[in-house]
Formats: sequence, structure tokens, C-alpha cells
Amino acid sequence: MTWASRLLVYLVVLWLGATANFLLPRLLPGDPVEFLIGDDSGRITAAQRAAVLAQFGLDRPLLEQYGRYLSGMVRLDLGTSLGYGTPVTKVVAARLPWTLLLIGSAILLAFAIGFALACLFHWVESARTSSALVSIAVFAGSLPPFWVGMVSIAIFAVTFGWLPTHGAAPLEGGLTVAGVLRHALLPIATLTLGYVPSVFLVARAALESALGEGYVALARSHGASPLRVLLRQAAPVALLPLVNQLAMSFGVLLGGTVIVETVFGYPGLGLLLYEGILALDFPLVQGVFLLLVFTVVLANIVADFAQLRLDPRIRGGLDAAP
Amino acid sequence: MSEAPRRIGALLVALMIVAAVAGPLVAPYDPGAWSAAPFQRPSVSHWLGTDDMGQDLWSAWLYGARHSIVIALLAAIGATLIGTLIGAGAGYFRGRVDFLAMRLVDFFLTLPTLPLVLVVAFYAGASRPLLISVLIFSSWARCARELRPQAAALRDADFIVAERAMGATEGSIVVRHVLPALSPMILAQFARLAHQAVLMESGLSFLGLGNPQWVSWGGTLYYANARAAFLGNAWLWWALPPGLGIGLLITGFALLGVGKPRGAALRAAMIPHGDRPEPDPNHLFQVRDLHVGYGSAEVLTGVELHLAEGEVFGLVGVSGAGKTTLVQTVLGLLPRAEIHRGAVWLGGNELLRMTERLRRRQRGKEIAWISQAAMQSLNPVRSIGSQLREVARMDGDRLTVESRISDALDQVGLSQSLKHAYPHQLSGGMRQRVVIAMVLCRQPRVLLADEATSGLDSERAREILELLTRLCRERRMALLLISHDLALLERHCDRLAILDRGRIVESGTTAALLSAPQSDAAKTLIAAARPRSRWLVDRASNGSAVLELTAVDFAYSTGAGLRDVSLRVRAGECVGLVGPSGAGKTTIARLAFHLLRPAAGSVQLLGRDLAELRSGALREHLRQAHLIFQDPFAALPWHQRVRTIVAEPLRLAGVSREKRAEAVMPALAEAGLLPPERYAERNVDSLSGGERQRVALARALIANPRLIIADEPTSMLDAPVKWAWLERLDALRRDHGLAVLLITHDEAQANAFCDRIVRLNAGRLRDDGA
Repeated sequence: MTWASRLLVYLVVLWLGATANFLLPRLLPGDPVEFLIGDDSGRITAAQRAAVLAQFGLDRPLLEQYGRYLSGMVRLDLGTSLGYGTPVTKVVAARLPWTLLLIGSAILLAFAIGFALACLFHWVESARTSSALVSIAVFAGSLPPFWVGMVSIAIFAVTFGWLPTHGAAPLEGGLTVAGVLRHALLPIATLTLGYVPSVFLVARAALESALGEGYVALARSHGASPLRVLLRQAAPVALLPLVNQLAMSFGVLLGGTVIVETVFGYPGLGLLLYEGILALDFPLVQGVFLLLVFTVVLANIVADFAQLRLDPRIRGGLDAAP
Repeated sequence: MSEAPRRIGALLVALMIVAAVAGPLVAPYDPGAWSAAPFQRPSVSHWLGTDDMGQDLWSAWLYGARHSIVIALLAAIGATLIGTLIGAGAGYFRGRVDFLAMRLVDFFLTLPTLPLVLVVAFYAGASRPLLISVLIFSSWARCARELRPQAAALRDADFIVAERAMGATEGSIVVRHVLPALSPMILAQFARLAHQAVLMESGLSFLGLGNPQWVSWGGTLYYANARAAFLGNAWLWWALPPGLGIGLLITGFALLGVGKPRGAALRAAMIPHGDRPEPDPNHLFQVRDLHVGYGSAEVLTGVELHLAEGEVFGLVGVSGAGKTTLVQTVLGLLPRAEIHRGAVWLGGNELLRMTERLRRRQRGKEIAWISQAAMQSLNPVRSIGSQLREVARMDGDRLTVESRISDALDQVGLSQSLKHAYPHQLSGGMRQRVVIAMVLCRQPRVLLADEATSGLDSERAREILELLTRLCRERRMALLLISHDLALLERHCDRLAILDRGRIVESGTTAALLSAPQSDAAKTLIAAARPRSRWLVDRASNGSAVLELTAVDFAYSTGAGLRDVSLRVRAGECVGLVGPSGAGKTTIARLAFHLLRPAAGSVQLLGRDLAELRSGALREHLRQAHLIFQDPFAALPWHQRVRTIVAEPLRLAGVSREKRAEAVMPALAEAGLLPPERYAERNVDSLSGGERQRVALARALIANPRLIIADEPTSMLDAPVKWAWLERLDALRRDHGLAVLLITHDEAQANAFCDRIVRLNAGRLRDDGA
């Protein structure tokens, strides 16, 4: 696939995501007024009902609503949050950095740790240790993150009192690096723990297939040590599928933040989405969801570029050598 | 690594299923009812204590297990079905369906799953069917994405094409071959989807978005979190068990999905037992009384070899003779075998008894290796220069690294600009030269070349061997050339040895050994290396045309193809179709079975134009001919037994099960698989290439076809096996009076076996069958 067509696909995906976001609340059963004003909807008069619908443009034809929605999206106007009373974009922008801090650190850590563990796995190479390492990795990845979060709060925050139980920064004294890190430590650790095993398993398989290749046998026949073979021959090849996985899992990790941020009361996008859902804040939920779709598409584009940089086979350039 | 993880996984899932089925029956209390005082610690009557409402937590755990497992299994089954249908369907049928399906998959993969599920749950409220549908809806795409390439590869796999050539319907191919071949992948996907469903469902319940009526592990945790279980110690029995339940269930599914492990690749070889045979000081390199085995079976028995400086020594043997084991033992790269006795001397050093660290220093520096797979031995993501540099830096002066690389490239006749190129930009022959250049950077004293030219055409192979022998003489290296092909080695070697079933059965100077071979193995190899004279003198055939191509044009999208090809094969004759690779020989075979359709001209089989036959009649008509493939490893389905494979043409022709069973044994015997009972029940993966090709022959003959097209049927077989197979085919051809079109690039072979030869050159051929 060429670059242009690839970008086109992403644009289509973005558009489909936005459309799904628009249609979902309108197609699913249920009364929009109930979503908008909550449980009191049974008791309002017809006139009040019409006024509510008019206020949100829900009395217009569907196509017109869709047009407004799309044009609003292009102008970065996602409506006004019912709960906050301010534009959705503003609310979202205030939360975004916190989520990026969590996800960014978790991804980097998980990749470093998972890849290092996979190298260690092939380095140790005794059958019993390997089986045990795989089983432990799988078990660690199987523990639900919200539960890990709860238990780590119970241990580190409640029992020992070493770390704060919730929030992103101390209430007083402003933003300090130490304060932010102390608050982010447990959420990042929880997200990382949930993600390391899948990195490990993918890296392990990729390294294993690389180690069976001819270039490994060649390097060994030239007297390269096992460590050199692992790091100089197998690792560069095994990194490629991981980059792809990174993009694939970005959406999963973003989803994970909903749970982890909720457990830790961490003021990021995930908690915002959860709060929006509980408060039936309809524009806010739509806005956050749209941003999530957008971020995932962006991650895919970045991964494609990274792949292109890393893999000479698809880099093009130099044709058949002279 | 053992199979242990998968067994643990199966055990965990089985235990959880037992808990789910039996749990509510044995649960001591109703999980929603008051049963004791709040916050009871675990006791005999309440194994996990009680929560803040005095509800029994062990009963809640058992009910929760059922909830989680039912949701997970239903969601995983649904998503696997949809994912397999769409992914495998798209990959197998390709075309527009594939494109649209994969864009749909791209779209679903881009949606952030958990937020999507949250949003849907938010708008639509909680119900089990809805929850399951949402889980399916949000997770099938990755299953489809991962199965698609596997299915796409199967579509063109030889054993699938063979089915089509035998006239099987696509439906029967999918059911009998595609799905069984995909089943391990589908199972792994199922395990992953179940794992994901448990995690999602418990996450939703934990967020309070499930139905509060449901007793679930996630729900228990939600209440534990919301109702201050964490302020005291209550979380130890309230929150830990459901979390561990989720964790263990997911672990079970995940371990089930862990791929089948391969052996560790980095392990060092073992040290020999027994005495150390001493060296003869006159030789540079010596193998003395070497015995190597796998378990109790000995693969090398008392092997003795010696090479002097500047000598070229040839070691010949059919595959399975132990050549590669010998090389790997010498290099110390032999996984899992046991060295029973012997020694390998390089000058005054004994290699087998060195520590691994010392051994490593010898590799490449003193004793180097060019492998059978040299062309595939370069790292695809690193430049040629970086790979040469890494090797050159291993010893010698660091300052001279660049100049040594440049010299080495000059010597193998490659341009200096290649340093910046990557392996995929080089031809096979060039990559082979790069591997030789790596060896030259180190200036080793001994060079082992194990089938170093296989995969190259004969011209390139000769060039490479000439290069190696020249370099060996110039630099006083000892060169050990190893091959199954005596004809290739005889021109270059000073001395030869024949390796047969792990023993050196004969050795001597090349001239002496070739002129007066003593052992049977040597005689067979020498006979196989000589072109045969034709033993069937023109049996002019004037039978009717069995296969007739008339003015056929065919073009691939790359531009290659056939132009104006005419060919006639008459009943009872054997026609050899020869031509260089890429000339379009295989295309003709595919046209004859309607696997490709000509752009112009006609293809007639037994007097009927294939383009005019409707699908059912076409399939039936195609069964009168049979196609034999080049690669015996790819042409037979690995998931079926030999008797099923051989009987396939009869099954397709609607012959009853009993009749099929009767026909199989004689067919196997006829193809030379003796005794047939030994083979009928086996799977093909335990057979050698030669045995497999005989299975293919048995399958070809069982339904008495009128025409066999054999597409390079022997190019992947060792020389002696090759001639035996062709003789078998020839005998059967005469007995059954059938027509054969033998496609080959080997003119000598065609000369020996065919009544006449037609030549295809750059897609053009004119033959009127005279």
C-alpha cells in the first residue's frame, strides 16, 4: 500500500469513528432527554421536553445534526459539558497531560522491561527457568489492573502510608516534580505491570524466531558470544514486530487508563470519561471518546513511520545494487 | 521449555469450569442473602468470611465464577466465529471482499475497545446478551487480522492447489483442508479472546456498569472498593479471592494460547566421553574416530578425516548420511546430540575438549563455515558493511578493519559500494559472496563449505566453487567441500571421501576413487552423477492427443508469461518440457488444470476445451489427469494420514470407503513404498522427501488417470533417490499406458526418460506433437 492510500485509510477510520460516535446515542434504544436531564425526565411537561431537545439541536433532522457535528469537530467545537458548564475541549485539554504522563511512562517502561526480560529468557535458556518465567509473566499479565491498583493502595498507601492514595499532585504547595512523581508512581506501576507480560510474550516469540535464522548461525560460526548474538543479531530484527504491537496496544492502554485512573482517583481522560458516564454528561463523553479515537489513529501513523525508519526492507531508496 | 505451561493452562480452565458448573450447587448460602454478622473473618462456616452486609463471600465467589466463565466462553466463541469467518474468508478468497473486510478490520482495530464498551453500556443499559454482543463486537477484529495471512498463504499452498487440480470443490477444500490446517491458530485466538472477555467483563462490573443484580467477581470488588473494605483488613478475604479468581482464569486461557515452544538455540555442544585419540603431526586438520549420536542412535560412527594446508577435500553423501552433524560437531554448534568418542585436531589443539569460551575464539578465526543456507544468512535489517565490520572486528588490528573489508570485497569480486546496501537488494549469488567475504576478513586456516552452492544455478555454483578453491590455494587454507552431488565436486577436489550412514566407506584421490569405486554407496553416487543414455529408443506414438495447447497466450501482472504456445502430448508418450527457470514451464502445468485461464488460445484435455466446461463437469473431467509437484514437503497435507492422502482422488470420484481402503495398499506398493502397511497409518511429517514423493506418485496413480504432469518432481531429491523415483514412474507409465509430461530444467534427465523433448524459451514454444 502506498503512503497516500494509507493516510486515506486513516482518514476514513477517523471519519467512521466520529460517525459512530454521533450515531451510537441516536440509534440505541432509550430517550435522549433522559440522558440529558436524568431521572426527572418522566415528570417534565411536553413543552419543557421540546425546549430541552431544541437546546441541544435534537429537534432538527438527523442529517442537519450530523452536519453541525462534523463542522463543529473540524472547528474543535465539541459542545459544552453539562456537568462543567465549560466547552468540552477546555475540560479535555486540562486532563490530557496527566493521561499522557501515565501512558507515556508506562509504555516506555513496559517496553524496556518486557524486552529486557525476553532477552534474559533466551539468555538463561534452562528449560525449567524458562517455563517458570513464562508462567509468571502470564500470571502477572492476567491480574486485573483495577485489582492490582486496589491492592497496591491497600499495601503502600493505607498500611504503610508511603504513597498518596489518590490524586495527581498534593493539594497544597503547587506542582512539584517530587509531588507529581509520588502521585504517579502507583498508577504507572499498575499500568506497566499489566502491559509488561504482553510485551514480553511478543518479544520472546520474535526473538525465538530470529534466533532460528541463518544470520544467527553465521554469527555463531564466527565465534560471536551468545550475548552478542542476542543483542546484535536477534534484537534488531525482533524489535520490528514490537513497534507494530505498540501501535496496536495504544488503544488498549488508553482503555486501561479508565480503570486505573478511576481506582487511583487520578484526574486524567479515563477518569473524566468515567465521571462523564456516571453524570450522564453526554457531550463530554462524546468528546473524550472522539479524542481517544484520534489519539489511536495518530499512534498508528507514528508506528508506521517508525517501521519505515527501522526496517530497511520497506525503506525503499537504493534499488538493486550495482 | 516443556509442554508444562499448556498443561497448567488446561488444568486451570478445567478447574474453573468445574467451579462454574458445580459452584452454585455446593455453595453453602444464597450470595444475596444475610447469613451472618457483617465483617466476619474466615471460619469453618464462612470460608471467606462475610462482607459488610453479612453476605457469605465464598458463596459469592462460586456464583461469580459461573458468571465470568459463561460470559467469557460465549463472547469468545462468538468473536472467534466471526473473526475466523471474516479473516480466513478474506485471506482465502482475496479480491474485493478481502480489501473491504480488511478496511473494516482496520477500523475496528482503531476503536479504543474499553471506552467503546463503556459508552455502549452507558447508552444501552446492562443486560447479559447485550454485554456479550458488545464484547464480541469489539474484539473479533484482531482475530480476523491474525488469521488472514495464514489463510492467504494456504490458498496458494501446493497441497491446496493439488486438491484443485484433482477436481475438488472449494467448499470441500475449506472444510477438509483449510480449517484443519488453521485449527491451532484458531484455538490460540479463542484462548486470547476468552482472556480478554474475562478482563473486560470484570472491569465493567468493577466500574459499577454491570447489572447490580449479577453476582460477579468484578461486582464483589466494586462493592469492596466502594464500601471501605480497604480501611481495615477485610480486603484480605473480601478483595483478594475474586481478584485471584480472575487472574487464575485468565492465566489458564493465556497459557492455553502460548505457542508450542522450540528448543533453545544458544546451547553449547557436549564434551566427548572416553579417551582422546592423538593427532598425526603431518596434518593441519584431523577428525579422529568420531562417534556422535542422538540418544542411543549413532549418527556418526568412527569418522576419520585429515586435511593438509592448501588441500581441497570433498566429502560426498546422500542426505541423512551425517554430513551436517559432522560439520556442527566440528564447529561445536551441535544442539542436543551426544559426542560418544573421538577428537578433532586443529594443529596441536583438540577442539572437542576445549571450554566453550576458548572454542568460541576458534570459530571463524581458525575454522570457518559456509552453510547450506548462506544466501539466507545475512541479517535483513543491517547493512552489508555493518555486518562485515562486526566480523572483521572480532580479531586483528582494529585500525585495519576497513581495509580488510575492502580487500575481502575485492577478492570475491563485489563492488565497494555494496557496503551501504542491505541484503534484500542483493541477488542470491551476491549474498553468497558476502558470506565468503566475511570468512576472508578473518583468514581462517580451515574452511568447511557445507552444500555451499545449493540454491544457486549451475553457472553460479561453478563460479563460487572456483573462487573458493582459488582462495584456498592462494592462502594455504584447508578446504572441506561437502555435498550430495559428486558431479559438482569431482572437478575441484584433490581427494574425496564417501560418507554413508555415518561411516566413511571409501576415500582416496579423486581420480582413483572415480575410476575404481569399491563400495556400493560410491558406485551409486558415481552412477547418479553420469548422464544416462536413453534406454527407450523412440517409441513413436501416434495415439490421440491427450493434452493440446493451441496458440496460448498468458500474461502475469508482472509482464512475464507465455506467448503463442502450442504443445501436443499424445496418449502413451512421455514428453519432456525443458527450459530455464522463469521460462513459464509451471504456468503451462497450471493452464492444463485450469488453475490459470489463457488470455488467448485454447487448452484441450482429452479432446475437450476446458474453457467450455461448466464447473461440475470440469472438475470431473480434470480427474482424468493428475499433477505432481516439485516440493514433496509442501504438496501433501500434513494433517492427514498417508492412506487418506493417497485415497483422495478416489474419494473425489465418489468411490465408497471400503473400495478406497482396498485400493490404497496396492497403490503404495506400486509406488515403491514397501511394505505398504508400514506407511499407510503414518503422517507425512515423519517421512523423508523421497518417501513423500512416492506417496505423491501413489496418489497420482490410484485413480488410473490418462495423463500425469510432473512439475520438477525430483529437483528436491538426492541423486540416487531421484533416479529410483524416475525409474518407478517410467515403469508404471509403460504398465498403465499413460501419457506423461515431465517438466524439468535438467536436459540430461529429460534425455534419459522422454520420448521427445520440447523447449520453452522466454515464454515461447511451438510443438505439433510430431
